[in-house]
Amino acid sequence: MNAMRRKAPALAALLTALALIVSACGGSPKDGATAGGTGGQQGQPVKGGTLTVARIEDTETLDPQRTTAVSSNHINAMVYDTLVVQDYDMSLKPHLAEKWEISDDQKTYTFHLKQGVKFWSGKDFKAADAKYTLERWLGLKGSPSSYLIKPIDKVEAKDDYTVVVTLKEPYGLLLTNLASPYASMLNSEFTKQHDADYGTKPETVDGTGPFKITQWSRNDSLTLERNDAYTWGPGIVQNKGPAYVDKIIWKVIPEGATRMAELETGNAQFTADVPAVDVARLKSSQSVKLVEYSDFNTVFIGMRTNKAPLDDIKVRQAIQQAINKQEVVDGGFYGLATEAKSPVAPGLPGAPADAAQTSYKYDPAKAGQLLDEAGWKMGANGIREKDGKPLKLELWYSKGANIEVVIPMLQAQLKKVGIQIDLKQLEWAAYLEALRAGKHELMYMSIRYTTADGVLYFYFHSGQRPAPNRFEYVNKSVDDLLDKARASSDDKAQAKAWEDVQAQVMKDAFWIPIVHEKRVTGVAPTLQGLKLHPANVLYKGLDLWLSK
Amino acid sequence: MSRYVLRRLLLTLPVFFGVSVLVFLILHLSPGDPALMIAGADAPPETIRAVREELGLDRPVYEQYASYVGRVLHGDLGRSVRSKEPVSQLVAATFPKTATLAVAALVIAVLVALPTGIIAAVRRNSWIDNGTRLAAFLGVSMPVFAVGLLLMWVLSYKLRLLPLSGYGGPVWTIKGFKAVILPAVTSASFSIAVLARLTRSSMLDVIGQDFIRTARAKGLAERVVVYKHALRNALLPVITVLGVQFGGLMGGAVVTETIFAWPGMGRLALNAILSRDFPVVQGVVLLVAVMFVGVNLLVDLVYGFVDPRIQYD
Repeated sequence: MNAMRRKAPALAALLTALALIVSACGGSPKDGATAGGTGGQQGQPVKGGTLTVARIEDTETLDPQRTTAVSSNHINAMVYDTLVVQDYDMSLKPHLAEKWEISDDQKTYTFHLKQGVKFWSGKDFKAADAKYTLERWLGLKGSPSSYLIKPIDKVEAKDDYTVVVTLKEPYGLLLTNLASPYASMLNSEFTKQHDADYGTKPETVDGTGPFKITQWSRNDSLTLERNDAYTWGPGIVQNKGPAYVDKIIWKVIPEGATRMAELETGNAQFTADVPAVDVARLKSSQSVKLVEYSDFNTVFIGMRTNKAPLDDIKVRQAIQQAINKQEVVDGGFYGLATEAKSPVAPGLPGAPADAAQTSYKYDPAKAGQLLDEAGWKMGANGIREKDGKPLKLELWYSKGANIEVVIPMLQAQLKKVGIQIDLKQLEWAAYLEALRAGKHELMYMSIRYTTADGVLYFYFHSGQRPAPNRFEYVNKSVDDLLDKARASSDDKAQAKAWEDVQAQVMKDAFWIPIVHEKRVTGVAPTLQGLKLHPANVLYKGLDLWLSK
Repeated sequence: MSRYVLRRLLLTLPVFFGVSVLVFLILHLSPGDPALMIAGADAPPETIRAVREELGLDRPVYEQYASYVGRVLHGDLGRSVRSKEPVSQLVAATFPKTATLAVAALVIAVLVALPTGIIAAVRRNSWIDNGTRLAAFLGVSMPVFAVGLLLMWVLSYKLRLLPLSGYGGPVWTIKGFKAVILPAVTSASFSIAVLARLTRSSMLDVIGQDFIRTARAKGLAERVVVYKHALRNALLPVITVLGVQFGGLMGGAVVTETIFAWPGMGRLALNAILSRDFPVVQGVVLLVAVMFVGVNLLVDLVYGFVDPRIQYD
């Protein structure tokens, strides 16, 4: 889930004012934005230097099994390694596991580990560590992510460099989940020794990653230093190690204006958190380059299908066609988004080949017609009525990019076809709890994912009620397709099942994919070798270097 | 005097009890489930249940409170449910930074507000008085974030005189000293305005009284009249407000800390509230309560030094 902070409107106004001043004071405009995920590369990489990354919030814990926070994932990718990795196109590639075999019944995975991999403490990484890591994860009480490997029955270390994972049932997502940062390989003895303190301070962390953590001052900064022994970088990066930069300092700067000022004055070289209000101004900046990249995300409105009048599919279809997504892209997201036509964003296995076929087009006339058919006639005040009752729906929301613009825009669009939308904004923690209670009608949210399963099974399987299936959506054929996709290790069959799920979901019209957000990062002209990873922006940091 | 202090200290016990019950109740009655925040919005129900059990949130509130008090009495504030770090360590790491900022802001407030208030009172309706009135209005009505961003804009971004943000280390190092200036001035801006106006009106009250006329009639120098006779009598309300302001600053200047990326207790508390990290919120509130009570006691004791007519028994 996207963890962006909300901003006070007053603050946003002041920032805009300041932004205007900057653009007035700034030199001659030039186009500084680069499209795509790659920044400029100038000359040969040089070793040395300190890279400072400005970010919105601190890491929670460096125990990868105890958190799913993006702010922890960023660090964990640099201090740890995983058996498998996801490439920049999200396909799976080997890492600490050089290769693996899957048994014919799809229930036994045999991993052959890379030799010569060492933890910072000097200990060799062996099968016993992998076994310990998976067993700890599986059994860790209160781990928010252990359900990802729940189908594992047992893990055995056949010899020092062979791990055998046996599943209770076929599970097509095992490898993908072993590539997540939660599956970072731990040092068995070291982790046992530090127990509950593991990952709470630099002294209680040991990993095999390209960077060691040397200092951590909460809510302030976290320092990583190059691991000089590292030579086992995954195939998906150019430099296999050691890293070029001496140090990476992650500085927490919660306030957007301050964060960008640090970047513009050269005190920081990278941030993945560029406030939307700053984007237009920074496009003409000499001191900061904006680099866009796409992760996989969808901003959506979900409808509670068992609540009148949303139990009427015509009402749901009308709402779908009343939404002008292009207006949301341009006016709500300042162009930093693309219109969403399906739940799964294009580019990910399982995304529909031709999403336009199943998606709804903006057509307010058709929406009005559907509402007429459903018995909702236009009333005198512009709000439709049926049996003397006005067509009123509550839209619940909490946080998200540009929410203060997007939500009223959606409200106005629905008003045009005669639907009155009452807005209800809740603070995030309260929102989640209220949604679980199921009193909502329409809800607005965004989701980030690295597999189609991460949206489709998540939201649309009937076993996921009351949350995350907050729509009371029950469809046996969808359940079957989702189960089939999970069990399958045939990529084509899996993708087909996911496509079919989406066709059905769109037909049932209770879920409106609105936009896929684009991410914008701010990059200093000195930072080279940047290639942004959709799942983890700076990834391992191995290719990054600083020019003078 | 020592009996008075002892009595006051004993009286703080019910305060702490009350604070702890209140915070506990508010946290547990407000919407938002910590287990949901840890497990993630979309975790399956069994994961959420497991997290809740792990945190002891499945037990009745009174039972949770009792075990909490029991642990606090043994000096154990618990662990953050988010980072798993002991709360005492989190608080110990942020407290000195908040204290640095609060003391620096207080020093600035006193150094600026008292002289301006006195001069404004003595030179009533002069341009100085009118000028300080305008400045005080600005100081009171301008939001802290606006003051902070403007100062940062001019002094750090444009002129590059001071660091933009962050904690620079202990205040006696050059780096640390430079880093604290902007956040401290920002935090102090409101206090300066309040204290300057209060000092002025309090001085005017005293200056109008008979004993000041007598002092002047005796032929005492104006300096002596103002600083020895008037100021000492005018200071009591100022000290009271000073105490309250300091307590507030110690509670964490969340906005200032956020703008300047100052790793203090205010941000620690804010993040903990947003993520429903109950043990951290409780720990911070408890410490802030201790600070408030301590500062109030100190203020009451200072009265006696400023005005010997006040007796403690």
